[in-house]
Amino acid sequence: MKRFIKTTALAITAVIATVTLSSCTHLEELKETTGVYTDSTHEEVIFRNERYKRIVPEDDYQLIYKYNSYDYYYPTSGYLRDADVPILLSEQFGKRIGFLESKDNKKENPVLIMAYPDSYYMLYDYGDSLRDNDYDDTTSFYVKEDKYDDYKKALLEGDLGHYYTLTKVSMTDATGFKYTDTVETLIPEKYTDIINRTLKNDDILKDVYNDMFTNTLTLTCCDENMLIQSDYTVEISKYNGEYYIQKYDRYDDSPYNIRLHKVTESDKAEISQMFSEYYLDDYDTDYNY
Amino acid sequence: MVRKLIKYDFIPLLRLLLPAYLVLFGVALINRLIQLFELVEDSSDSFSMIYEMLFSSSIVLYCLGIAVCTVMTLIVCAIRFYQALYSNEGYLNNTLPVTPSQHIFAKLLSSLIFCAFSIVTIFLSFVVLTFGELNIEIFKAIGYLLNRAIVADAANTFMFIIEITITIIFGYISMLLLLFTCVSIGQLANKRKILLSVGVFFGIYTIGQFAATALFIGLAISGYAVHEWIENNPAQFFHCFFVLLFTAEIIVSFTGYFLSKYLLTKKLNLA
Repeated sequence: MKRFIKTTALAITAVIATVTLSSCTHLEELKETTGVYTDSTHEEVIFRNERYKRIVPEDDYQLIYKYNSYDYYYPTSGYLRDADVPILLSEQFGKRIGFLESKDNKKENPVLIMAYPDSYYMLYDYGDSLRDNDYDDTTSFYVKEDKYDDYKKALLEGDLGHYYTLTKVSMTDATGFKYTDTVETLIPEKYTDIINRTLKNDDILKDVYNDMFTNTLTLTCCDENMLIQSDYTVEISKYNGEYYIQKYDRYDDSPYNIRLHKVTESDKAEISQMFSEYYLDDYDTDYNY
Repeated sequence: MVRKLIKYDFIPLLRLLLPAYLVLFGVALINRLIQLFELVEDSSDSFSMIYEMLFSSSIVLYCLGIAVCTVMTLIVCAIRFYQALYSNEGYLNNTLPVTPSQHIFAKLLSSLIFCAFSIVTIFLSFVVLTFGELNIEIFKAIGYLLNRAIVADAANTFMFIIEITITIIFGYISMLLLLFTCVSIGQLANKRKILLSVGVFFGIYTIGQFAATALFIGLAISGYAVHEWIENNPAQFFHCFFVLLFTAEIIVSFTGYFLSKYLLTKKLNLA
């Protein structure tokens, strides 16, 4: 009887030990930051048990995203690997990725909040893996499957007649650390209409020189859901009590192509209001165009 | 008769080495248990510092354990050789109907078996250390790398595996025979035989190190053509390296064997 009890106790201890000894934090961290391609085309990825689909932005349109630059509590990068590559060799044979945030543009949540890892993420991968460098490879994005159609629709049909700017917001990260960050904020419809109307008028400022504007509010063209943006930037500048708006391609346009449209008297109050609401003295963090 | 010699060598070696192997397992198990308290995301700084200290210490202890296990096996085998043939026990063993060659062969074989045991013990202790999913992933990674090497260059990969295996086996053989030779030379003295054996070993080891260093210096200053060849043919260079190493091991083994045999036959000193 004693022997039986002893054997049973040893067996139970062995089983418990086997179960408890099976965990490994390093491996769990790798699983949190590593995705697996579903097949050799690399069009789909399984990451944290969610399916992500590849999306390729058009040349003139980009996805709106930013790095999770302040919330150090959660990992910001990882790897994508083929299914046959062991997870421990993800860094050596996988493709490097960054975890980006994008904005959930529901009306009740107009301001971006630093997202937790379980929320709305896109992944992108660099073109130079640690295996052999593929210099023809390009940056690509992977969007969560349930948001893929929204992005695809925005890229194909999105109306980029809306604008967003950066506003300051107080954040608290997962450890309780408070910090200030800038977030993309969609400009209300009433201001958008005024900007679009002003850009169509012919009242152009003739003599333009460097540093003539003391304050400038910068806006970026985007779709109404703030999923994609174009290369165009709109600047609202104040000079001698008047407001001027210009729109230019920040990659192509030279300084000599500037056309500053003057805001009409009827719209001046609204633009002044908008300026005071959204103008930032300085920028706190990086954001991506 | 050789089989009986091996059998009677086995038990004393096991008695001496088994505790060392068990200690290594114990250290590996302790380390694995320490890993159960691995950092969680919201752990405090003091807790993480204590854990880091414990984990680092246990890993250092484990590495020391591996070194001790390996070296101890060789030393215990050499001690066993001395005890069996040159101490009081030698009075009995040297009167057995066994040739000196058979004595040396039996000691070599039993020592090699325990060297193999030590390798298996180290391997199993590593399995204990990484027990669980991590262990599986490690072996998956090794398998994947091996597979890639075979796919990239099967011939060279298989040759390297064979060369490394042969080098390790003959490395152990040559080291054991060298130790036997040192013990045999040491027994020539009337006093402080072990001290002389140790001195001879260090002398031979130092000469070997000088020779190896001279060879590498010669290679380093050999000129552009040689360097270019090495750079363009790394696989062939390593094949040559292993062949050279194997040759050196063969030379040491044969020299050690014949010297030990001669000293055991003609210069036995049981005083």
